[in-house]
Amino acid sequence: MAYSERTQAFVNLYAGIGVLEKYLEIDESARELAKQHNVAIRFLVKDGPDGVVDIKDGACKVYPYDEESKANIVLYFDSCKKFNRLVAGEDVMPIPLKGLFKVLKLMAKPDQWFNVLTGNMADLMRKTEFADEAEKKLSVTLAFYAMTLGAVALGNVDPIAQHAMRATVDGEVALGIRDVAYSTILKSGGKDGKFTAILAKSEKPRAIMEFADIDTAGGVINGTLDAMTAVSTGRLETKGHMLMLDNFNKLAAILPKYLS
Amino acid sequence: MTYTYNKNVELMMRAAKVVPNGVYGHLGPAEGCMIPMSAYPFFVSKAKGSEMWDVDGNRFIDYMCGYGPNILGYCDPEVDAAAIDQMKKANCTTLCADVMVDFAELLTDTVKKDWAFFCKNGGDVTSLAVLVARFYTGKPKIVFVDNYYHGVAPWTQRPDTPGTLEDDCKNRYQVRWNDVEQVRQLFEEHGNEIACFISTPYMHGNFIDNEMPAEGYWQQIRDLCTKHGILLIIDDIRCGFRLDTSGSDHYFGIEADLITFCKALANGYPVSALCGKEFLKGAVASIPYTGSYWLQGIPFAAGVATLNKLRNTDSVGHMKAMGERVCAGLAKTAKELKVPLHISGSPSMFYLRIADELGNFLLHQEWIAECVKRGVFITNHHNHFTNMSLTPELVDETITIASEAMEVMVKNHPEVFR
Repeated sequence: MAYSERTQAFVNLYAGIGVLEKYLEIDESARELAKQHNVAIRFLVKDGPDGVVDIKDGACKVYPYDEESKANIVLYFDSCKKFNRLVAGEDVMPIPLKGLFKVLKLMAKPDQWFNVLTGNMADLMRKTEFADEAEKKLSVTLAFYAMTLGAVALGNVDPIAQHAMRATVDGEVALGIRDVAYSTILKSGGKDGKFTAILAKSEKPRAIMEFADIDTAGGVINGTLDAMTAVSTGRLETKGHMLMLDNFNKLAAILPKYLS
Repeated sequence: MTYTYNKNVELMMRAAKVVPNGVYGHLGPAEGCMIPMSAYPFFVSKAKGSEMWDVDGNRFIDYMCGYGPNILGYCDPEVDAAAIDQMKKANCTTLCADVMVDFAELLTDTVKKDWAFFCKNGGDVTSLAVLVARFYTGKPKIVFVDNYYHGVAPWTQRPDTPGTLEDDCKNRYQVRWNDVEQVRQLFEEHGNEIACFISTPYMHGNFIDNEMPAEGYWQQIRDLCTKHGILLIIDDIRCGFRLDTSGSDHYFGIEADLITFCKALANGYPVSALCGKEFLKGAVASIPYTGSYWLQGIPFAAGVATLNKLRNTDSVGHMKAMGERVCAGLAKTAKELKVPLHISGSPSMFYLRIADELGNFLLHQEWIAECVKRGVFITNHHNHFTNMSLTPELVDETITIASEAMEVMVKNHPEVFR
C-alpha cells in the first residue's frame, strides 16, 4: 500500500499530537509543564489537515478548525510534507499567519515550551526499555490512545483505509487494556459515514477488543506480537460484531506505517 | 457439568510457537470466532459420523461438518474403503490416475454439465472460473454480490487486505443481493466491460441472516447475463449437493455457464471442480493452470464413492429433514424462553442469530459458547451444516443440550429476560 504524505499529516496532527490530551491528563509532570501557558495553535496545512491544538490550564484538546474556533497562533504549511517534517523534528519554518511573537517565544527552538512538551511525549512513546513499570504503563497507554486516534484519522482520510471505514457498520467499537485504559471508535453515517474517536469506555459497544495486559497491548501495538496470535493465545479478547473488528484490524495493520 | 480443555490449551501453546496463529484460517480461534476461547476446543483426536472427540476426550455433535466437507458422515466406510483401495493402487503418480475419467463422467452426469476441471480447494476453481470468463469474453470486470465469499485470492479481496494491491481490486463491481434492477442498470451501462457475474446460490454471508433468492431472481439474472454476453458463475462450494444433487443452479431452475464445487464433493478428501458448458471447454483448455496434487488418485476415488452414495439415496431430503428437526426444536425452546432466535437459510444449512438491542451478538455468542461447552459444536458467525449420518436421536440430543444452554444464558441475563 502506497505511503501518503496527506494521510501522514492527518495522523500526525490528530494522533501524534492529539494524544497530548491524554498525556496531560495522566502525567502530572507534563500537566505542570503545560500549565505554564494557555495557547490555541491552529495548524493550517495546504491540501491537508486544518486543526487546533488548544492547551488551557494544563489540559489539551485537539479538534478540526471551524469558524467558532479561536486560535492565538496560526501556522501555515504549504505542503503536507513540510508539516510532517516539522512533526518529525526537522528544522522547518512554517509561515506564522498570526501570533508571531508567541511562536518565537514558545516553539521556534527545540528547547522551547511546546517542543519540549511534545518531544517528551514522543520520546516516551518511542521507548522500548523503561526505567520502571510505571513508565512502561504510561508509554503503552499513550500508544494505545494514539492507535485509536490514528485508526480514526486513517479511516476518515486515507484512500485505502477508507474501505475499512465504509465497510464498518454503524455503532461503537470498544477498545481497551484491561483495568488500565479504554477508548471507543464510533462509526456513523453508513457507507458514506465517518469515524469519531472517543477516549473513554464505550457504553453501548457492538464489538469489543480488550488486551489482557500492558505487555500484550504494547506487543501488538509496536508490532512485536501479531494480533491473531494474541487472540489465539487468549491474550487479546475479542467479541461482539467481529466484522467490525476485522475492519479495525485492517486499519491497525496500516497504522504502523504512519505512527512510528 | 461442562467441558474443560487442558490438553487442547497445552497443544495450542505448542502450536503457537511453530504455526502462525497456532491454528490459522477458519478452523482457528480468531477467524473461527471462538468466543470466548475458553469455551472451545482447538484440536480433534477422532471423528465418526456426526460426532467428533477433542484431544481432552470431550464428545461433540458437530454441526459445522468441517465447514461443509462432511456430507455423508466422518469416516464414511464406503468412501474410506474406496480411498484405501485407490491408495494401494496409485496415488500421486507421473501419469494421471485412470479413476479421474470415472469421476469426471460421474460428476458431469450428476450436475448436468459437459466437462469438469479438477483442482484442490474452492479458491482454485473460483479463480479458474474468473480466468475462463475473462479469456472467453475478452472483458475484464467481475460483478460481486454483497456479503460474497469466493476464497482468499487477491481478486476476491479489498485493497486494505494485507498483501493485496489496489490494482488487484480494480476490475470489479458490487451489487446488492436480490436487486435485479441494480444488476440490469449496471449491465446496461457497463455490460461491454463485464466478464462475469459470480454469486453463491443464495446469500449465506456471516453475521447476517441468510437470504434466499426472491421469486424469479435467478431467471432474470440468467437472462440479463445472456443478453449482455456475461458469463454466469455459480459458486456452489458451500451449498453444493446440499440443496440439489444436480447442483444449486438446477435447484433454482436455471443453468449456470460455470459452476464450482469443493467441500462436499468427496466427503473430506481434497478435490474441487469447475464444471461448465461445452462452449467454454476450449477456453478452459487454453489456460495454463495446474498443481502438483490436482490429479491425485485417492480423492477421485473418494469422489466417485461419495457421488454414488449421494445419488443412490435421498440425501438432500434427509439433510433437509434433519435441519428442519433441529431448527424446529430450537425455535420451540426459544419461544418458551422468550428468546428472539432468528433462523434463516436452507434447513440443511441453517443460520442462527439471537437478536439483541445493539446488534452486537453478545447474547448469541454466550448461548453458542454454552452449547459448545456441553457438547454441541455450533458457531456464532457462520451457517451450519447437516449431513447424511445425522439421526433423529442425535438431533433430539442436540435440542436438549442447546435448550439447557439457552436456559443458562437466559438466567445469566435477568436484565434482558424478565
